[in-house]
Amino acid sequence: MRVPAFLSEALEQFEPVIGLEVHAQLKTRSKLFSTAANQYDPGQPNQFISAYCLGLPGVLPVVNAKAVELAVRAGLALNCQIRTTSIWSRKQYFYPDLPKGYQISQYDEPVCEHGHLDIEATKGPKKVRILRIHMEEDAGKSIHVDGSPYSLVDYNRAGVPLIEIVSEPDLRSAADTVEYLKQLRAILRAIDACDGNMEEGSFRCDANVSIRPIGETKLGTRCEIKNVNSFRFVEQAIEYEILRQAQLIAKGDVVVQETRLFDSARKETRSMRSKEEAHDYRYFPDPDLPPLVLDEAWVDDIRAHLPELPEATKARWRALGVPEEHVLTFVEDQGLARFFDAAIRGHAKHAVGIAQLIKGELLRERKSDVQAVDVDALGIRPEDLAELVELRESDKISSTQQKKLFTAMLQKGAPLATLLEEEGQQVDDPSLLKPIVDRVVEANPEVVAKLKSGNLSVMGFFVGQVMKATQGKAKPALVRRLIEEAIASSP
Amino acid sequence: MTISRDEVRRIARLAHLEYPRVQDDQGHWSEPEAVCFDEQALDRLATELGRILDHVRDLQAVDVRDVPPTRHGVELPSRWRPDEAKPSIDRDAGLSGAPVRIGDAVAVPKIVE
Repeated sequence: MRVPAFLSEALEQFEPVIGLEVHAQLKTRSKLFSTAANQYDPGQPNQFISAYCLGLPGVLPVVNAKAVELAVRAGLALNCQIRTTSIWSRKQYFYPDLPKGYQISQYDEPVCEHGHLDIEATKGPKKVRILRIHMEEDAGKSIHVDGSPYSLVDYNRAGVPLIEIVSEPDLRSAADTVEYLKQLRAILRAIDACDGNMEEGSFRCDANVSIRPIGETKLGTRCEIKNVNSFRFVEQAIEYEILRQAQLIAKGDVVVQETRLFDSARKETRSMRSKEEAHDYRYFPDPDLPPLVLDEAWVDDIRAHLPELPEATKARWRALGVPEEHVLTFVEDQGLARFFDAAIRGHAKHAVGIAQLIKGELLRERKSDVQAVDVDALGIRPEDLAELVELRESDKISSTQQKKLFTAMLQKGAPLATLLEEEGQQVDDPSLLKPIVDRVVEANPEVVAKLKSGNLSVMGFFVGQVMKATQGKAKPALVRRLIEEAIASSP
Repeated sequence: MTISRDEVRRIARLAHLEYPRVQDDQGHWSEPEAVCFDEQALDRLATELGRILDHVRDLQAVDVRDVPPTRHGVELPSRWRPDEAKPSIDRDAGLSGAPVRIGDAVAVPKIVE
């Protein structure tokens, strides 16, 4: 067997098998078992802590109802069966970020099981099975400072509610894995269960990667890759790992089951520790917490009130003719999706124009100015944006005017109606425009000659000159007609 | 049941059994030192752990196929509370039990190199 030097060579000999464990922090006000605030603020370590988060003697956990609701919502959105009775278990391990010495999690009877997520994989539609979704509390955060003999621990995160979504090993490439993650995140955002911020760690992913010779049905030994906090890194980490394992096997070595860390600077994974088995954690039912019992009618009510999921949203937008690139951008961002939907309400026939204005102008502004801030904060009302597109598409304003009004809306935060009054409406009176057109034509005889000789591209020059003279307010179609008339009658 | 010396060492490692660090006059901490059992101690612990497992094996002889596991002493579901955040405990009070504090964080001997 030859030792592959590149991923493409490795993929000729081996099939990757990938399963994912995704930890998603739930959007609650308080923590899973205590009333301390669920708030992210690395600038204020240990600000949101309770006796429970610190594991002080005598503390007892009390379940946050909202966290349960969000976990059930996620289970339903991912086609899971919901257990009406599930069990809280203790997972024991010793680490400074876990003051109690155990994490309350769910082990043999999790709240959601046997779901699936349909993705658009590289080779066509694919069903990725979801083994389970269980609830658990997050650990504190350790901060490692170079050169210091200490690690610093911040317990703000300790006790934050999480769901862990465990997939079956159904994925077969790094690209499909990223697609699964993107779709999963879009769903969790759509149901308002998780904000999906990978950099802040509210959506984290561990990937179990193994490979096997093509045609083999038995699974190879897997490695778990931790510490990947962007989709790009997930892809790089998995590709590195596939190649590493392929090289090991081709040389006759064996893959060792272990946990590996992804080093984003070197784009490689490195061994962190030998993988601990479930029995090393000595799971047992938490004596402080009786079973989590759900009322079936309550679950049915959550099911009945699930919002539209991203796949349905995308289909609806595509049916309105919205270009695929815009569909994918909007569906990724909950704030943007809501803004776009509000704008097209009652303006469905202008959906494409609205999408283009949002993508072309609004997002450009957002990038240059206040990236990652909710569109709500920009001060543009979606109905004004729709109105602006309608005015342009019915030729009541020029594209220059549209741009100008858009910028004014952004800068002044004023309603469109007020700005229209201030700016003055489009000039569509031929008697006002004709003198301007005549002047421009007279002043440029050589361009008139070009146009007459069949060079139609210079028409834009005349339209531009008239627009300049009218500060962009002239109705373009009318200007074009008047220019044609003026030229036809010129000597 | 026979427990090997290696199994005893593994259990000790999982339990993070180590001699505590000590701080010298300059505030430097000693390196952590794993508890090293001599062979005599390992054999004694192996025998004791083996006896515990033997006792569990005796219990396993009881036929409990149709008996659901007893997870809790009382048959009540978990109580829920509304999702309300309340003021945290005072940070200084919360961190007062930490052996070392740097800024507003708890400082612990370095975990990864």
